[in-house]
Amino acid sequence: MKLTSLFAATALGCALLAVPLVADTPKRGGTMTIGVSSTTVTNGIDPHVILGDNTVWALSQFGEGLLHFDGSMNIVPWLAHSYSISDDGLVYTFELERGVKFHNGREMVAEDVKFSLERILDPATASRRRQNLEIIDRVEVIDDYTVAIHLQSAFAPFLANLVGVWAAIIPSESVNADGSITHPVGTGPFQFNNYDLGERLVLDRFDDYWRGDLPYLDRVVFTPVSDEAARMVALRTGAVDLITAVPSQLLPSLMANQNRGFELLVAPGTSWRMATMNTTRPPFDDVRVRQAVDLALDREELMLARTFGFGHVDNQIWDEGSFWRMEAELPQRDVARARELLAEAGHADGLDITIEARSLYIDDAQIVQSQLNEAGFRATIAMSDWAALAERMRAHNFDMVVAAAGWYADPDGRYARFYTPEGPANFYAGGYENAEVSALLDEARRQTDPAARRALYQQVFDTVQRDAPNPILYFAPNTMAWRHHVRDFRTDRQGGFSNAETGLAFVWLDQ
Amino acid sequence: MLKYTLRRLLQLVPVLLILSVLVFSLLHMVPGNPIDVLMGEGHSDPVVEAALRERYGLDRPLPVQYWTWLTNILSGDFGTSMYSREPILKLILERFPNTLLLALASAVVALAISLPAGIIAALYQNRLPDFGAMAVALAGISIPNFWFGILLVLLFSQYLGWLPSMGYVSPAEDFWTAMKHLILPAVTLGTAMAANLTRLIRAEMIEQLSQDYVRTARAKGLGERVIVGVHVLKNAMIPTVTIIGIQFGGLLEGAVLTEVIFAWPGIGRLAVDAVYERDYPLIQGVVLVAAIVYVAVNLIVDISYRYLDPRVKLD
Repeated sequence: MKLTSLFAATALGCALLAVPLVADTPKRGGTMTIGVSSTTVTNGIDPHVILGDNTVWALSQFGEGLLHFDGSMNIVPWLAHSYSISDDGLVYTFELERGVKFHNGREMVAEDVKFSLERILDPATASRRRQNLEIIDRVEVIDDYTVAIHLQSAFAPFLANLVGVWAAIIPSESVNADGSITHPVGTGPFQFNNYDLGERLVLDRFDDYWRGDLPYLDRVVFTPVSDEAARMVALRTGAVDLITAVPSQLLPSLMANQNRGFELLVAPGTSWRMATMNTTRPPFDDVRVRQAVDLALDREELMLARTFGFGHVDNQIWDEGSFWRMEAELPQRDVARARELLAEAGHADGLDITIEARSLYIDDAQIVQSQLNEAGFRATIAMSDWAALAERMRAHNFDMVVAAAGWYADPDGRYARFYTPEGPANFYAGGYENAEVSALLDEARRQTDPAARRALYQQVFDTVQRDAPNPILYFAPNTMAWRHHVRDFRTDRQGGFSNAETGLAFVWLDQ
Repeated sequence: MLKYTLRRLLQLVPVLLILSVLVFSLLHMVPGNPIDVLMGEGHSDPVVEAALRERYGLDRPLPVQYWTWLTNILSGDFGTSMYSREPILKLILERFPNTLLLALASAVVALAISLPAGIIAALYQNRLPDFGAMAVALAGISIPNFWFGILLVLLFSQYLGWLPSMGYVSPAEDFWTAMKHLILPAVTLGTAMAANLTRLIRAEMIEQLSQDYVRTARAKGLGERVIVGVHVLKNAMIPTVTIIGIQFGGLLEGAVLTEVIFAWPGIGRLAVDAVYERDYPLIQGVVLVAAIVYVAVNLIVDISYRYLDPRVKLD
C-alpha cells in the first residue's frame, strides 16, 4: 500500500485547516448561502425517499436518525442515547434521548420511531433504502423512551443501516393522507421553511433544538449553481458563502495563491471511479481478459490527469488504520503481462470492446481507453445519459462501464452490493457470480464477532481482487471553498456537512 | 379578425393531438425509463419498483397510459411529476412567468441593439459603419452564448460589482432587485438574437431602399428621416417580425444554458431535467404548454402583418 505524496500532503494540509488557530467565541445570527454543484439542491424533501449526496447533506439539516456518524465516520448514538443488542443478535433495544422536540413542538417518543421505520418498510412509500431495513421483523414500543427492534435473523450490518437521514425519525402528523410529505418535520438543528420553485431550499434555525445552544445560524439557504465558472464567481462576489466541488483544474493555482480571497479545503475523498466489466458474456466472462484490464490500467496517471494530483489511488474505501481496512498490495501496471493474458485468452490479435459512460465520467473513460489500447485492446467509447445507461446495465447489455460509487459504513454495504445478485441492478451490472464469495458474505452477516467478520471480508476481498470484475480506478478529492467570515466549518470524510461533531450546526458567521 | 383568430385556435387542436402522440411514442422508444432514475444510482428493489410502476400506471399497456393522460388533460389535470411529486401544472405555472420575463427582456435587448445597428449598416452600406456593425454581428453569431454569459458575469459582477452574478428575484417581491438580476441573463440571450436580427434588418432595409416607392418618395421631396423611419422600416419589419416570432419560440425553450449559468428557474431547465429523469408526464406537460405558446406567438405575428402591411388579408 502506498499513498501518493501529494495525497499525504493534502491530508496534512486539511488536518491543519481543521484546527482553528484562534479560538473565537461563536456569534449567533446571519444567513449562510451554500452553492451546490448540481442542477437541483435536493431530489425531493421527503427524508425517507431521497437520492444523492447533495440531498443527504441538505436534508440532514432537518432530519436525524437514531444513530449518527462522528467525524471519523464511526457510528455513535444520536436520537437514541444508548442501545443494547441481545446475545442472539435478534433484538436491538434503543433508549431514546429525552426532551427531543420535533419542529412542530411535540416531543419525540418511541411511537414515532415505530412509525418512521414502518413507513420506510412500506413499499408504497417507495423508499430506496427499504431493503436496508428489510431484515426487521417488527418494531416494539416498550415505553415512551424505549423501543425494541426485532430482526428476522441475526444481521451484523444492521446498525450501519440505521444511520443517516434516510432513516430519520419523523412525526406521523407530518405525512399527508396520500403518504407524501409537503412540509417535512424532523428534530434537526434547522427546520424546513420552503423549497422555492424546487430550486432554493430555505431552512430556519430551530430554537428548541435538543443540543444546547446550537445552531448559531438563523438561516441556511441551499441554491444550485451547477456551472463551474458561475460557481466560482458566485463565491468571489459573495452571492454564496460556500461552494461544493471547486473545479479540479483550478486547484493547483488556487492552492498556491494565499491571496485568493477565500478558504479552500482539499481533502481525500470517498467517491471512487470504477471500470465495471460485464462478466455474463464474452469477452469479459473470461477472468484472464479482466485481469488484463486490471494490469493495463495506470491508476496513478488516471488520478493525476483527472484530479491534478489532489485525488488518491487505493483499492479499497477504508483508510489506513481503519478497522475494516484489508491487507493488500496495490496492483501495478504491467502491459507485457496484460498482453500475455490477452493472448492466452485467444485475443493475440487484439480485442474490440466498447467502454460506456455518461458525460460526467467520459474523461475517465477516454483515459482508460488509451491505456487499454496500449495493451492490445481496441476500445471505442459510447456516451449516453444515465437513464439509458442504467437500463442497459440492468439488462447486462454492455462490455464495460466507467462509473462512480461512494463510501459504506459497513463492509456488507460495499461487498454484498457489488458481488452478489442481490446487489442493486446498476452496481451489480457486471453480473459477477461466485458461490464462494456469496457464502462468505452470507456468513459474515450472521457473524457478530467483528474480528471473525473481518477475516471473512479479507477472503472476499482477496477473491474479488483476483477476479477483477470492477477494478477501482482512483478516488476523487473533496473540495470546498468558503468566504472568510464563515467560521468553524468542517466537513466529514465523505465531504458532507451533517455529522455529529461537525456540520452546519456549529458554523457561525463572523460579521 | 376574430373569426380568423378563432379558426387558427381551432387548427391548434389537431396539431396538439398529433404532437402529444408523437411525444408519447418517442418517450417510450427512447432507451431508459423513469423507474431506474427514480431508484437512483446504487439502488434497486423489485418491491419498491413494482409499487412505483403501479403508482404511475406504468404497468398498464401503452395505449391505456396515453388515453388516461389525454382524458386527464382534457379535464385540466396535468398529473403529478414522477420525480418531485408536485402537480405538473403548478411546476409549469411557477416557472413559465420567469421564462416569459427573460424572453421578453431578451427580445427588448435584441431589438434595442439590432434596429439601430441594422438601419445604420444599411444606410452606410459597404462603408465603415456597415463593416463595423457586420463584424460585431458576425462575432455575436459565432461566440457561444454560455461563454459570453460568463464573460459578462466576470466583468459586471466580479470586477465591477454592479450586478448580481446569479439568481432570480420575483418582480412582485422587489422590482429593482429583480431587474438587476434580469439584466445579465437578458443581455446574454438578447445579444445572441440581436446578431441574427441585425443582419436580417440590414438586408431588408437595403432591399427596400432600392424599391421604386423610395425613389418616388425622394422625388416628391420627402425627408430622408421620414422615408427611412416610416416607409422603409415598416416594410422591412414584416420578415423581421416573422423571425422574431420564430426566435421568440426558441427563446422560450432554448434558454437552457443561460438558465443554468444564471441559476434562473425557467421552463427550459425544467424541461431538460425532466428529459434526463424520463419524467414522462412532466415532459408531456411542458411540450404541450411550449407548443401552445409557440403557436400563440406566431398567431400574434400573423395578426401584426395586417398592421404592418394593410394589403395582407387575414382569412
